[in-house]
Amino acid sequence: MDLIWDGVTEALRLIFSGNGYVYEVTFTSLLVSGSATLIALVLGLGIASFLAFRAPPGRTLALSAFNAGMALPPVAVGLLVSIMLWRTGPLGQLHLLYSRTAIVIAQAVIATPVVAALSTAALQGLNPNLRLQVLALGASRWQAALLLFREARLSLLAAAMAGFGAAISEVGATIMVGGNIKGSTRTLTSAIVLEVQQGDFETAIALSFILLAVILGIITLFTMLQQRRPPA
Amino acid sequence: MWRRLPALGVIVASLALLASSCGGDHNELILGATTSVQDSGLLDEIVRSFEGVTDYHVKPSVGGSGEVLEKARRGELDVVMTHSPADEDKFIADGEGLDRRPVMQNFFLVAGPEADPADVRDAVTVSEAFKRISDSRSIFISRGDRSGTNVRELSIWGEAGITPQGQSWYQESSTGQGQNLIVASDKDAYTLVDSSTFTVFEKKVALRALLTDTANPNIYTVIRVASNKHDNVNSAGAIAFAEFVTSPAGQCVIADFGMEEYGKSLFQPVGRCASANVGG
Amino acid sequence: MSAPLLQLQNIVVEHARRSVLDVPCLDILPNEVLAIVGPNGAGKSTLLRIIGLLERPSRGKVLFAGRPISGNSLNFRRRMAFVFQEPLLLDTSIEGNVRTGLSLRGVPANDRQRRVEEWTTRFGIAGLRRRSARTLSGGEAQRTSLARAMVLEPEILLLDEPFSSLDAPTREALIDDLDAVLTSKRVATVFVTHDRAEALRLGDRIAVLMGGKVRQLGTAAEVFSSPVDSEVAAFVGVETIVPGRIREVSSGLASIIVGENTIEATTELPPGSDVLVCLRPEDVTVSGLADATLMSARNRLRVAVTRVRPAGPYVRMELDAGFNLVAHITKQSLEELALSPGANAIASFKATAVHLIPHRPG
Repeated sequence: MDLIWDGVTEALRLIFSGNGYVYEVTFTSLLVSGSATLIALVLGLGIASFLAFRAPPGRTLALSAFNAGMALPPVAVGLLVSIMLWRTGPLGQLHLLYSRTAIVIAQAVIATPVVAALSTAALQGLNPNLRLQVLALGASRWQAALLLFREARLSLLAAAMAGFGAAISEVGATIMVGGNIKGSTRTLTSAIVLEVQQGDFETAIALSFILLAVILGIITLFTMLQQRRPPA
Repeated sequence: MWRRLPALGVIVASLALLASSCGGDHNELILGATTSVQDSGLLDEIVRSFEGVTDYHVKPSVGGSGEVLEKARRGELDVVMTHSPADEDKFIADGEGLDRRPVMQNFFLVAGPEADPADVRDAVTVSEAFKRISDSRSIFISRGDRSGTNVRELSIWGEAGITPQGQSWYQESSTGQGQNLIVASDKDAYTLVDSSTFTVFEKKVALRALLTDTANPNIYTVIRVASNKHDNVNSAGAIAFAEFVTSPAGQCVIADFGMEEYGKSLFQPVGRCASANVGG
Repeated sequence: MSAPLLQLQNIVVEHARRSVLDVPCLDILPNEVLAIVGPNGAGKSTLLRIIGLLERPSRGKVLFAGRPISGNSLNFRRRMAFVFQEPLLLDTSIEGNVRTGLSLRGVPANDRQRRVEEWTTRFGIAGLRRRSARTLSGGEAQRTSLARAMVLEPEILLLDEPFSSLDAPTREALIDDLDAVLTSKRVATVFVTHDRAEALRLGDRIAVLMGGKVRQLGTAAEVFSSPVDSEVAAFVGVETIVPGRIREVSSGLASIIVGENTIEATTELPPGSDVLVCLRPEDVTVSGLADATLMSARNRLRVAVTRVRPAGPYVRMELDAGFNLVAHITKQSLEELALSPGANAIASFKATAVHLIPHRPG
């Protein structure tokens, strides 16, 4: 128990002493996970609109794939992505292995099915005539999609938070494709793993608290956005 | 405004991605290193010093010696630093590696509980110690991951004429050096570990260094991946790195590492250091 | 007769390989309210969605102001407005909802404010403008939906059973308001309903849609008093439909044999024709045996009362005249006549009230 308390005090010390290392890994975490979540949102919402609004044949099959994708083991994704990015792999020429971009790609692969599956369910939950009504009011397909996103924002924001959570808490794929390199691809999660391997438990716990605080802060912002009521 | 939004979103995402990318770098040097080098903290130090005097960006790929050499055979690495002589011999013999140079060394030791039920302290050789552990059926934790440590451990069992696999007291943890020690400590078990890792973790575990194998040092070697076999290998970078770690400057970095915190070098450089600060 | 605003040509709609709509020709004329009536499942909503360009037909063309519509129908959709049975409001205030179409269509901001005010006032919801859509009653929500549609000043207004989910008093009030608006604004309107009374009230022309086909299209009088076949007749409320044969015709007045009775009706059909005799219950008067001599109707039949049942504001009497004859009488008449099942009475109706449909027996 002392270890945990020591971890908390160490966390505060690290933050307030302006420890460069901590800020660096935090920044990296936010940057890569933020980018990955953004990509997952764009792709996921696109897929969701297509599946929900156009109701193409084979929709159930596609949805099963995305729903299953929510349970995709991140470490398997990491392995697959790293094989793609190896020098001998199909995308080797891009020299992306052990870079932040590689992590963004892996995390986006992990987060997109989460966002897609939950968003599709959210959009399917809307009254099917609502889309027709919006189109009848004169919306183009894009305008209609955005209006309907706003109507479903409660569930869509939950989907976004789920996607972000999947990305920022990820560590297996991050280390595999990123290499956990100090100064570029070391995130909060991979730094925690390293500190444990190096036996620095205090620092590991401190970083864990910082990670939790960061996640809590961002999710709180999202939740406030989600719960904001239009004027009654 | 409505119409622009999706296009805007895509642009923002792309910019974010571009900004975050640090890839596509042709000064990159992919270095395969073993976990003991990373867990001790020496890897970060060497990389930092090397990047301080050259333009290369080092990207370490860390794993056990077995994993590292396997990746090297695929041409995924430019240069490796391993400590598994038999695997390295085969690597060179297969024409996969060039210009093999020793860099530093430490020693393997048998760590175990203070109570020492197998009486390892009184053994003379490591294989004798292992025999005592086997005879007393004391729990032994193995790395089980084809790392340099694991290979050495298995050869010692071979010397002692014992096959520990499958026996209830022999457990394979498949973790890195430090983690392995912690597992052993938790279980009050014996394990084989290198001296550098043990020094770093000594205060965090309830194990003692019971027997050090000073007769057979654990030598870390740097080997360049055969550029004639693989197109993408950064041979210039590999040469620069090999030169650096074996140069007096590099050897000093190794010698100094650990002095402040532990009062001795965690790893012994094989060559001379410019400043005469070599500890034992 | 002005040029049609919108035309349907050879429209066929198939869902799961079944034909749900088959309309060779339908014109929407300016300044006219077209009511589309039919039983549930007739394809009315589908027809309205085709007209509103919200659904593409499997075959056929839609023409707007003479030009065929293909590809992106967005610009044409923006010249119409659609109101559904459910209000389908967005999660914002009434004002926000009413403004939605205007923003989507790029109407300038200062115009928007003026129009929103005008139409929320016309539909009686101006005071509630800031209220959230989630807090409205059914009637208030539907008023918002109507205001949201009318504010767009559409060339064609489309309404899909807009009052069906409202309770009777709310419905009455809203129909009154809509009637007033349509009368003053004269927008071409297509209005789907399964309620014949609404169609009669608001429609200039009525189209009877059954089984995906337009069975009859005409004025209210034409459709309700002269249904074109027995199915339409049954739907529009003709409750007495019996086969008969024209025995002779003189000066436009025919004598028709129905069972053992002879019925007189005005017609242009030749003698010998097999017909269906149709009679609306409102057109049948029932009187006691003693009062018969006061009737001026050409047709007077002796009947026995088989059943008496309340039917809304009326009382529905089933009478046996050798064939089944249905009459609506007022509650007051019922009390005065004091007739109960089994009693004898006289049923009378005018020759002009009888509608004949040519009919092939068997």
